[in-house]
Amino acid sequence: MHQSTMFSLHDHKTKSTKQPFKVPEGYFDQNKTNVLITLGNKLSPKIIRFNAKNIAYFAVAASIMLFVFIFNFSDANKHFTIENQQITLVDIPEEYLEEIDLIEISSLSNKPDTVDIEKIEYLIHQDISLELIAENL
Amino acid sequence: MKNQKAENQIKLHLEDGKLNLAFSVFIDAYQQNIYWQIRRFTTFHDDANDILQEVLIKIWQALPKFRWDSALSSWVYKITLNESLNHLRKNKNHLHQLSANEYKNQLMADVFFDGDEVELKLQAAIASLPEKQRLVFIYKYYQDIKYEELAEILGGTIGSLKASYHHAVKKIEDFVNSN
Repeated sequence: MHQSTMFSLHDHKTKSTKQPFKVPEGYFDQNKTNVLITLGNKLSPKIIRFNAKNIAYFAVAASIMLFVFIFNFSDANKHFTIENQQITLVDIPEEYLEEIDLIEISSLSNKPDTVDIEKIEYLIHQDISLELIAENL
Repeated sequence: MKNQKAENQIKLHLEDGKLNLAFSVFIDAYQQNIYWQIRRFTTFHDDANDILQEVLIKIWQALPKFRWDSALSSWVYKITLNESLNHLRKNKNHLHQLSANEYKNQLMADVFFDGDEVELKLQAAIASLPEKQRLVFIYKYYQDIKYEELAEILGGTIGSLKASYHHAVKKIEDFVNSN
């Protein structure tokens, strides 16, 4: 008789179906809405996934940027070289030529076969020896 | 708590970068389990609600970095447990430091408690257990978690967890029968 009133957790678990703890009406639905609104607005973490698709996009973008960079650089370099090649004594003003020495003339001139004869005459007129002119042109 | 279908959906949404959708599925699948786990630890709704918010924020922040080499449910259990214990330890006047009668009086005054006399005694008995035994008992008795998963969540060997559960059951039955 005493045994029948003894509390057993096993019996309590199998017989008891009533949940003793309660929550406010609609609590879980309301909480879900509040949490999604709050977190979605304020705490959005960044998701960076390096999956195959993203890596492919990065690779294509990087290739395009590299191609554009190389193309622009080569083109600019080509123009720069051509401009350099076009600098001859012909382009140098006489007033300026008077003031600079022959070493500077030679450094600016890389096409001696296009040198204007008149300029050479001018240099001769300035008492500069032909040897020096030839040596430095 | 394990919900394979939900886990698969969450994983797919995360792979597509849809965190809101993944989290919505997560809440549908896990919110109530998390809440009831916390409520068993803390007894009162207000405490459980506060901890639930903290747990959900932690999971929201960490979910995109979750490595799927372990069960999502175990990971969620661990976060829930840590947040619950942090909350209980910060609260110096928490319920588990009250006497059995004080605890029962507080519980009877709670509008969100609807248990009979035996349930009051049972809750007071659970609250009087040492922390480790209380945790093992709640996980095992109310959530029926396997010892293998429990060892992963709480640490320790399966043998020691079984011993803790056995001691807890004995103490609770003795407490209810003698009060």
